[in-house]
Amino acid sequence: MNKYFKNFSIFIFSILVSVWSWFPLIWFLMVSITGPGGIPTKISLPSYITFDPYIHVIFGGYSGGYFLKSVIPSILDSLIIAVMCSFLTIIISVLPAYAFSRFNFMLSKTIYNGLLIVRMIPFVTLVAPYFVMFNNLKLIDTYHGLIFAITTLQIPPAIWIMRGFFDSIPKEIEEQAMIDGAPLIKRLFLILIPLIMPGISVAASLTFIFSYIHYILYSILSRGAVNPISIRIVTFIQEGIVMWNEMAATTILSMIPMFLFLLFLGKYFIKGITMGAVKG
Amino acid sequence: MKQKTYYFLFFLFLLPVILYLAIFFIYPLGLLFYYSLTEFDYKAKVRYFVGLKNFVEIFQDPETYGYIFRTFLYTGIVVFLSFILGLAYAILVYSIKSKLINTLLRIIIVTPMLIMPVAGATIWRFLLSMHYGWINFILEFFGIQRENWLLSPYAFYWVMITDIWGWSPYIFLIMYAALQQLPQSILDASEIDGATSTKKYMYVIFPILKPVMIIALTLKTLDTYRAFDYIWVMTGGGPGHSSTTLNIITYITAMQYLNFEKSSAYGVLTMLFPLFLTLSFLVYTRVRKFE
Repeated sequence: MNKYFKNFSIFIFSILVSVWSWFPLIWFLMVSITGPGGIPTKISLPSYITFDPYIHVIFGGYSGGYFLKSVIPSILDSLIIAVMCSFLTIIISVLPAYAFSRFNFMLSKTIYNGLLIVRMIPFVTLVAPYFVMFNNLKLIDTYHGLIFAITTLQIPPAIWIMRGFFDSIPKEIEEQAMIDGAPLIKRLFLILIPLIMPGISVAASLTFIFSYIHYILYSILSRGAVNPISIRIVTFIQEGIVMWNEMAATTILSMIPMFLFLLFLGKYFIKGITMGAVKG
Repeated sequence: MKQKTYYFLFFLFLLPVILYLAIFFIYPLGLLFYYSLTEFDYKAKVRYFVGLKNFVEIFQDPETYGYIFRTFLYTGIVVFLSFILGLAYAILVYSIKSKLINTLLRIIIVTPMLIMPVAGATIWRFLLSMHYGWINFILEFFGIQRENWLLSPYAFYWVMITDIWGWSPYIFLIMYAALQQLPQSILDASEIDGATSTKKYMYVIFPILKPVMIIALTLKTLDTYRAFDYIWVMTGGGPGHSSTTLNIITYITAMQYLNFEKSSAYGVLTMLFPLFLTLSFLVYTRVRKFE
């Protein structure tokens, strides 16, 4: 009896958790495939199904008297920024990660902890200086401007993750290579970096996703020429245009790259999230 | 290796990151402190020191105390509930033995976290809307009148619920990973000793997981304190100032009122708590290492 009760309650809770987590999403999916007047105003399903909202947002066009620009360029912008940011982050942080792993003295630990501060302070506090600085450097509304800005945020976690992987490589491998006469540069690029490829994947996945979903920095640095998808979704709302169907279609489209990415590289992302905390 | 080459090599390796952060982090940070102590004269185009005038102005504004209070209210409620919920998820998934259901449930639970916050906020805006929102449908079923929730005094609490929906999976991921690393022998031993599952969690598992819990709580607190996207997209700080936190007012002051100096002062104020928490966290981990 007790066992059945336990199984039954686990079942009920699983259903509740699933509904709570997925219902909003599924419902928005429903809204995105119906047209004007199709959204129910009481508990029921959409009254008819059409793919017009998707056609409107993908190809652009008039809807309800407003002209909609295609959202595909925005998604591409976001992807470009996210990919470039991942590259830049890895290039910048792989050597420091190695240094923090192999050089152990007081100052190295202090600097390592100092990186924590970069990650921990709310970035929105830097809005004013960032705006002024990027304005002076003429970096506003350019791809490299946005990439530089977002990379700052991603460097510390990337260093922590890759440092963990460097730590797990046994010192003997390096010593053996040293005895064989390989100079440091060779050791690093031919032996160590290939060995921490999984670490690089974890760091890159985390960077990719967090730069894809970012909002604040893009919102101060983007003025229309570069228009990431997160900005695009918000402009929809803030312009006061109520086109729920198109808005839902845009939102769903914005998730597609993420889902594809997670389908193939999800385990790296989850490893990245849990690594820092569980290891301590 | 000689001592000198040792240090030289270390800084050589660190050079890229030091240069990068010097330009894109330390310089703006310096600028922030500088701005917060100055004022700009747009006619004469000169910037001059005014000491703590900006801060005095901020603290003379009675609204500021509201912003501070709401920031901590938001952080407190969201962290507390997300933690409970995330832990519950972890225990639930951990107690499911079937591999397929286990994986499926994990995917379902993690999904909200993988939706960009801006999109999540849009979805919830819709769920809370007057005519089309399911929240209203359900409440109507229980006999509560329809309302435009994001224009009501409860807006702030709905934003909190959205945040809990979106980011409690983060706690789940951490706690679940920690649960999986528990040594099986300890669990078996406690079962042989006749511990019921409630007792097992209370007296065996939770004490072992305490360090992970503290790390998870610290990270979550810092993340929640930073919360901007959900509030900004769902209410924009309104109605009135009823959902304006320190983050929101910093942003609004800079980007809408274009008062960079005052915004910087708010920024410095906002920064104090995370700095304090980060430093005390570092002290805590150091103390733990020596124990």
